[in-house]
Amino acid sequence: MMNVKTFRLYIVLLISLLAPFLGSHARILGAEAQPSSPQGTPKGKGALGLYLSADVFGYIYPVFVKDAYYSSELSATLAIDNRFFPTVEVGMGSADMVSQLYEIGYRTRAPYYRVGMDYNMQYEKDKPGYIFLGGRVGYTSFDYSVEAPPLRDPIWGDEAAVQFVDVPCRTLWVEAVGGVRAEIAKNFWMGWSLRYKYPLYQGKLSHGGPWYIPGFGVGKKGVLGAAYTISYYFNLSKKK
Amino acid sequence: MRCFRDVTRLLIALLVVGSVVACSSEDCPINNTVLGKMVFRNVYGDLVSINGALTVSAVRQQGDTIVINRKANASEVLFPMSYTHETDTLVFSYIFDESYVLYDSIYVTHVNTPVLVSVDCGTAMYHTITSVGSTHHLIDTLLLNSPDVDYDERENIQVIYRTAD
Repeated sequence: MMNVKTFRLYIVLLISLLAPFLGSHARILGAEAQPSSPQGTPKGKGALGLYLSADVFGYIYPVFVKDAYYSSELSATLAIDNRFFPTVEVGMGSADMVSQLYEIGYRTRAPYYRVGMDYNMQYEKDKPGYIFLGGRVGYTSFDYSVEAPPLRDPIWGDEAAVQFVDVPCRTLWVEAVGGVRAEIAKNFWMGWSLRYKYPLYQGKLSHGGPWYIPGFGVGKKGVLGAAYTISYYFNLSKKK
Repeated sequence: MRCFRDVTRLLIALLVVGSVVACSSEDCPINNTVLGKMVFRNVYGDLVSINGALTVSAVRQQGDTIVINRKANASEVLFPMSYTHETDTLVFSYIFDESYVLYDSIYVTHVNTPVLVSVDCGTAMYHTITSVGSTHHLIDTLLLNSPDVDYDERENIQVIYRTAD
């Protein structure tokens, strides 16, 4: 049964996800009568641009889901020929929470980094928006701390403390990315993407491994993530 | 317009996938206690079963407690391990009939490691067995087969029995 908070989250996410399409659709319909971007986004061979973006999904999620983790992320993406989009993403992920069920406290805060590239699936079409597919390689090195109620031995009756402080950990992972990006006002772009993340290397894990990994999320194996970005576009093409 | 339709289809598909993923719950272990596993074999490595009933007791300062009670024709047992002690002593009582009972003691030395399963599933105590030993009334020898004791059940200790043949 979906609770009210989850339902609210879905509504906000749905509106947010639709925003790029609504913007894109409005631009498509009104393109001839009222071009809002006279300069336009450079297309074709030799076109070069730069997107500077902020991911706002990390701010939206914890508003509606209690005990969540937080992240803030900035990225720089080159637009080459409006077809290839090599990108660098830098973010800060943190969690400082106590679970209600088991009263387990989990704390971490660390930067993370991703590099990769997207490919415009519609590079031949003259539209103010496009679908892209891509990939990323991510890395983070972080410490995490856990404090939980003691474990009571059911046979011998003793209690064992459960407290790990600043357990070092590092994770290297890969992501498959798919999403859309659309221009909503002159040089302002909005987009979202879904990401499937899979850990490649975590080194030797102690104490069962981390729960939340900055930039990766929650999960031991493959996890699904999302990004919702607002970007500003700089045209770097030489003017004729 | 075609592009818009394609994108709308993609959006719907991704929302469906996202909803399914979001609604799936984490698989927590059913049992909260981690157990080790002993498997009974003869000197040739074949599986053997106790010809009678087997009772296993854990030796404690406050008095022994039964952890397995009169298991018939046992060929393996799952055994608990203490959270704070270095060495556990388990007493095996072989009950052939009410007037004929034999005993063996098994000593399991281990390192305890508390772990975070997840904030939604709780914590647990994992163990690493470092050595095993026993008395030799019926037991020939013990082999440490797999030292790690966690939620993945594996044959940790092979108990080799002397058999009639």
